Amino acid sequence: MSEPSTLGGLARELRAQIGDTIDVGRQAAWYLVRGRWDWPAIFAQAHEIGVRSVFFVIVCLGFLGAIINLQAGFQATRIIGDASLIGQQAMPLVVRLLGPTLTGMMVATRVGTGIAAEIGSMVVTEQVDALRMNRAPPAEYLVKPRLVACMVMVPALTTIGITAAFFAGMLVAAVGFGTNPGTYADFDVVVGLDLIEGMVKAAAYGVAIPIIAATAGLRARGGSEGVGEATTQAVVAASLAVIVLDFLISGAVFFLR
Amino acid sequence: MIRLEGVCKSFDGVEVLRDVSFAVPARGTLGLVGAGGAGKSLILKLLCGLVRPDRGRVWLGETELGPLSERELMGVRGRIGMIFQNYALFDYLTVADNIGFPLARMQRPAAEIAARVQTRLDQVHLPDIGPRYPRELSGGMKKRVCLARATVHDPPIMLCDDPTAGLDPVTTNRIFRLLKDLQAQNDATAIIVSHETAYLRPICDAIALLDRGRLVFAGPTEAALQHPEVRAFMEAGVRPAQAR
Ligand SMILES: Nc1ncnc2c1ncn2[C@@H]1O[C@H](COP(=O)(O)OP(=O)(O)O)[C@@H](O)[C@H]1O
Ligand SMILES: [Mg+2]
Repeated sequence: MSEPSTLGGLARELRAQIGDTIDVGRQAAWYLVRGRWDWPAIFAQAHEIGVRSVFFVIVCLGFLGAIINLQAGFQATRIIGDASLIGQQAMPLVVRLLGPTLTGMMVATRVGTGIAAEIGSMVVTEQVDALRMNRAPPAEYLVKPRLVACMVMVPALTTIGITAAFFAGMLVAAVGFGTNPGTYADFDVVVGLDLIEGMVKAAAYGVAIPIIAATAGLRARGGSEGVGEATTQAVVAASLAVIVLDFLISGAVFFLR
Repeated sequence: MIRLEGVCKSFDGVEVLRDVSFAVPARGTLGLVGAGGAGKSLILKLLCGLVRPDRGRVWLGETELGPLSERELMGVRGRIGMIFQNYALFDYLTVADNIGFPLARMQRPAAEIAARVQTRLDQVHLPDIGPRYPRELSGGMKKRVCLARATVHDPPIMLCDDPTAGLDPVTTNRIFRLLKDLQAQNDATAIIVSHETAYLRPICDAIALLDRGRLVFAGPTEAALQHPEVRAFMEAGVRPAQAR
């Protein structure tokens, strides 16, 4: 195969994937407004997506909060000889950038693969065809519960993660640098806009990740090989989406400030 | 009535169906035969709008499927009972929930669903397996559960893809009789894909033979048996190829 045709093929494939994602997103939005609310399925997904990720998120974000405060503490003591303000330096970054985006990345990998594998294997075993035969549109029956669960759970996990980072950071600041916890926890520094930015990002990831992963699953072809491919595609695309959304929302907030 | 007109379908540049046309009159039964890979399963999927043809038209009754959106097709598919070649049972639901699924999606009352599910389980001679999961069943059992799910809502169109695959002769006989009974009960139109040509002959009004995506013959059973290729196939001239 010559280079241009490979690139052309890749571009076509990418365009098809994006087109399908938009299509699945549009259908899911339609069923979000008009479709049925399958609460047992939504709670099951919320449990799968949220509750089972919470430990992972607390540990990762906790360490992240510790590391950032450690770094900030070293810098502060070396340069100005005073580490009392490290919380106020580190927390805005955690709240508007690292908290949501790291949580988003973790959900993209852990939850994105799960969604793509589950739906992909239903496609290749014709279970999705059986759904379509029985008034159970995949966008309503499969995508909607996952979407609703992620829309709630990603912001929730982000909030929990930020809290974990906050307390781990406070501990490091107090033990390592003798920073007064009261000073560390001066919330005025974390302006409202930081919090809004963080939550807007988390909400955006909560919408993008399940749609992208479900689309990858629905595009699965062939046997278990196809499911594996769909899973990989889901992680790559969902992680990419998290980064791109992070950039876009950060940019928008920058201009709003 | 079911009708295909000049249907063509390719996958990745490979032509899988070429100019296929046939019709099944209302309440008729068509036996669709052909070697593995001929395109039989694909024709059934085209008839439910699960796959769209590249060219040609498909009618179910007065409805042409081509112009319908996926959402509109959902409604049309409610009139079809489809027995999938590879069962396509929901692996996260019990057998009873699988069979009741079409009714549950129609939001029928739970008591009615339970009663209808049990009736079908009894009819396929698997009265006790309601609480079990598909993975615990043999191929023949799954096939019968699939039949039960496909017919639980009494559809007026029945598409049966190898409904007796993996069954012993006694059960095969029973299943064909059950299909015939259900069809009569619902005044249904049926297409049956099967390699059990000896069973097909007496229950089908018409036979269609498909060979590598092309229709060799489609017509009344008596005429079909005069056609040399159909006759050769029906009289076990062709070994039943492995199901694909
Ligand atoms: N979704 C699909 N994608 C690619 N090829 C397909 C698809 N469905 C069917 N085919 C191809 O179409 C041909 C006919 O398949 P099928 O209808 O399953 O045959 P049969 O049921 O007669 O054994 C096969 O060569 C198969 O590989
Ligand atoms: Mg087949």
